[in-house]
Amino acid sequence: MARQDLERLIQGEDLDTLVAEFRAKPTGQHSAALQRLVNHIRSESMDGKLALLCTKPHEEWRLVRMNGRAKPMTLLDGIFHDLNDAEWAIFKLRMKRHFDVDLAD
Amino acid sequence: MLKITGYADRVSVMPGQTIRFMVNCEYPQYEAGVVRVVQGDSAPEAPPVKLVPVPSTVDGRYPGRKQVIHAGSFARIDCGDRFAASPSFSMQAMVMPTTPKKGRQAIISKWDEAAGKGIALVVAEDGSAGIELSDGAHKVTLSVGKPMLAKHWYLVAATYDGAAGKVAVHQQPQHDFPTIDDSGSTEANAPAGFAWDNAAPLLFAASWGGEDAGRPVGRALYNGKIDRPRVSTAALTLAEIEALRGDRWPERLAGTLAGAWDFADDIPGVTVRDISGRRLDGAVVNMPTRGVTGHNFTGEDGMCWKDRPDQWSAIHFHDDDVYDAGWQADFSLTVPETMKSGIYAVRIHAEGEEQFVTFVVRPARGKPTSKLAFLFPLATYMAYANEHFGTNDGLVELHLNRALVLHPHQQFLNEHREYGHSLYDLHSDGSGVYYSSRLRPVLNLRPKVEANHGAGPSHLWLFNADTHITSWLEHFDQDYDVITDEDLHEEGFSLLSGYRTVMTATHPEYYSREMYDAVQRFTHSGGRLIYLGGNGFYWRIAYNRTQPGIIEVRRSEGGSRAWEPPTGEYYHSFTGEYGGMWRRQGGRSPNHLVGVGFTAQGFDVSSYYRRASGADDPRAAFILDGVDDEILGDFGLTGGGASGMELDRHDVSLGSPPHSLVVARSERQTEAHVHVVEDLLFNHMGTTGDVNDKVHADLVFFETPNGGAVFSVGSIAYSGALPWNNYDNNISRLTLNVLRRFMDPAPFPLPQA
Repeated sequence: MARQDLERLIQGEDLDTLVAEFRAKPTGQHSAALQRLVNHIRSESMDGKLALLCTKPHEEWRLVRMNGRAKPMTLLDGIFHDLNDAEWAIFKLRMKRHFDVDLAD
Repeated sequence: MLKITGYADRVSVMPGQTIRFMVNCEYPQYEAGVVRVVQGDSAPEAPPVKLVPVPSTVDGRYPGRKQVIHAGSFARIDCGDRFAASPSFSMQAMVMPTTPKKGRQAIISKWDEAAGKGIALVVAEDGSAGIELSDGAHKVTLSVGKPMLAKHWYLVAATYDGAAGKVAVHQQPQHDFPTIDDSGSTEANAPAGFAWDNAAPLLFAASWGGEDAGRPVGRALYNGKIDRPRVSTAALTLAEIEALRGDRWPERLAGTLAGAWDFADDIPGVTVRDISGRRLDGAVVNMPTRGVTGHNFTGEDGMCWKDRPDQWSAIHFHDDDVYDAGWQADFSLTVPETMKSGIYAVRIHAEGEEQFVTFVVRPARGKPTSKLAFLFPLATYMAYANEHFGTNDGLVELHLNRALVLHPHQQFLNEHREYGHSLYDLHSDGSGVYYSSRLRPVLNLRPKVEANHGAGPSHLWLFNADTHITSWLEHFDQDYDVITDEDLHEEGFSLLSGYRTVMTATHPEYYSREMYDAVQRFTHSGGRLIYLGGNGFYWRIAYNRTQPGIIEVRRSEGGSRAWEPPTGEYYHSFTGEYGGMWRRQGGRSPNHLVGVGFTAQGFDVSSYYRRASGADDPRAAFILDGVDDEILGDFGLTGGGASGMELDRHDVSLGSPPHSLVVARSERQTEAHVHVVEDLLFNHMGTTGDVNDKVHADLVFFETPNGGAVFSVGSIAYSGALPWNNYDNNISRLTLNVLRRFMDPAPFPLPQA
């Protein structure tokens, strides 16, 4: 089922190419297939959503899992010093979570 | 987690006045001092943060103390021992519970939590109407046992017959659903002659938690509406209770009626009026929402509470309402006559943690000290106060089109809901937040703070983004006064009349009628207005006429909005004015005022402007004097371009003056920038920035009567381009051209008709 969802989103485009596109530029205008893909995985509810907590302004961000309104977030392993690296880490975790796709760096 | 928070009793203060600061500090001691805020962006790509220490009487070391907020609204009737001689008692109301499954919630109580003594009509743990009765030693509880449906109206009542020793509870739904069993009455034996009375006040929507540092504390907080509460000093039958639910009562029941409250009396204010003749008037605490539809709202007799107040005789209470945190003051500042008008903050720091309380020193009334005024958009800052964008709704990430980055103040606010909400949030029961107060710590109104919506590299929104403007002014040694739009609401046009030019912030979105009309009159009286932002003059708001520091919005009919009020709640409770977007309010669209109006929003990456045909008109030649570039603002601290976040478009059909000139227009906005819903009837494909021509910003100039003029940039990201390359860039240059011409007293002639 997860694989079918992925195919529906990327509509015949090459997944490796889309992943490379995201890795190169995680923010801003994406290709149509990549945008459909990231829209899907970014639609996670606040209960379980992966996000970042800024721990040093403009310098350091910590991976967190949101647990819903008013509930404390869970600090996860993963400290980043570049927001693009953090975006990539979240993307990889979500590709695993939503489509059971393992991505290497 | 934050251990220092604070606020002041006012934001705008003039020389000679005193501003008091309230601080919560969990460290043993802290240092405080005043700084003038020039540049609050701490991103490495931005110019250095510039907070100029200002020696004052505030300077010093203070003992830290913890101060807390008691959120939750209720109504309080101080009735003393009025009921001490009345062992029998009945309480009833029409109620619309919004969280019946939340747990014990008091609807009507004379219940002292500390003593565990009193009588209360409650939403019981099981979600049904219940009674609690206790003399402090023995407690009787009874509930109907059939949970009420959320957001449906019920008649609920509880009685105690002190002579017969019986308690009874009743619950009648207003609408019967054939598959729902939620109607019932039940009774039980209880001790006769129970000494339940206590010193607690009679409360609606809470039980009495005593006082803490002079503030009343509600417990067992109720979420939902209460309409027509009544209290009787007799144990009434169900038939008698039904006879009292309306507004005309049988004479035989009037003798035991101890109080009957009409919440439609004083909808704009805080009093709750007893119409039983017993004069048990009271007041609301923490500003529950008034001007809301009651159980008998028909939709056929008018849509405004002023038309038929009896159909708006309800109050919506929330367990997270907060008006005045009511903290003890820690220090104060009497503003010396020599203190220049500007943006200031008290910097509080201890053990490596830093907090700010921002305020404005404005000039004395009628005594501007500059010909330029920066209009500090306090109303919009209040609208966004303590927003929970990043912690309430997961779909925020689709607005951002980038990972959700939370900041320490948001982590704190997520867990400390008692700090109250912004006008973008939902209450804990899912209803929209209509009111926002500044009499509480506002943790996103400070320098150095980041936000979700402002794009990188700076990630600023509202106040801190607006310091890009003040730092730009000071880089070019431009003298300016700072005035707030709350001052503008109170003083109107006279506040602006002494200025040649008024400059806005990046996002002056929330405007009262008084504010809007004052700015309009200024531009029609020879004044010059530089609208340096996007999505301005958008929502109509109302100020409360008796309670300071609180605003209201009703997002009526349409618009790009975080919630919608239910039908019948489109009129502000504070004023009776119709709520909603200014563009629907008769010739007061933002386009009328500034030539452009909201057209799109997106929060990932900004774009640039391209010079447009208006730039070649001799009337606008001064704007791009010395700027030869075709492309303007393809750089910046907010999304990497001058056109982004929220965008405004020139549109004569929406009110843009026909003689207004489009000097530049943005292009190539991202797909995340979406066309606003108020322009759509049927939703359809092709509404995003990559394909829709209406997703753009217009940079507009036009002359106004009596030698005035307006310059609008139509983009929130615009000001993030001003400091780029040490303020040496084409956006900075063209803005400086405009400012210098606008500060020149030579009138702008209106073009020939």
